[in-house]
Amino acid sequence: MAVIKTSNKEIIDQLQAKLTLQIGKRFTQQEIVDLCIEFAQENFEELINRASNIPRLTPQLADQILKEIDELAEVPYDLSLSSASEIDKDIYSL
Amino acid sequence: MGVFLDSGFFLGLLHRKDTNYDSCKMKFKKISSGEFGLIFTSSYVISETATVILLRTHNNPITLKAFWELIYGRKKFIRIFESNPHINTLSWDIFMTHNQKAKKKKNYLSFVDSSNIAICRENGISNILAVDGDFDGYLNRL
Repeated sequence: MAVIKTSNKEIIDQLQAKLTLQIGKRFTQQEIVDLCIEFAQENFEELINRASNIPRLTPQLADQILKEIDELAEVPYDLSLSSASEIDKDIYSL
Repeated sequence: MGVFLDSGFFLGLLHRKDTNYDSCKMKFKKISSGEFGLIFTSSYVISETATVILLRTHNNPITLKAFWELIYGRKKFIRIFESNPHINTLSWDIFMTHNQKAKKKKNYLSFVDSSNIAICRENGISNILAVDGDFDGYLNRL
């Protein structure tokens, strides 16, 4: 078994105490870590959110982005290449 | 949960003259509510989108910069999946399996589209924002 160090030993102690109180059964710290891993696997999207420093899209940010896109309206745009299937044609000659 | 953004969506969103602009704008507002979870794309999609913007805007740096801002700059909100050997193998399998059954050119699936499906499958992403039906039968198109 691999040995993994954690800087959150206190939190594991607290989780152990809370689980014992709530469920009435004493979990070992190994069992708690295993449960947390299982939970993270099942909630992988939330794990990605915590692990990355990229903000979530909000309605406010979306409005701001759309406002800036509106300002690009005068940029020339080749409408002869406007449909989605044309994208593949441009790149792959499909 | 989760939404994957395809090239056609970025192109539709980034220019008002694009025929898909209105629907892409509406869908963009819809996903901003957070109802569908986090937002993802891939380095393959970025590569494809940047190249088509270059072509369609006749090398206009302002639109290219607007795209860069969404991906890497001050307005970033997208998690990016980088290519790796595992995803490439899965993408190749989808690419080959799908195209062996395709009878007509219009039914071909590009390698980038195959990689979108592979990435979504591997990461539990069920929704895609795309402007065509290439992903129908594989992913839920919002």
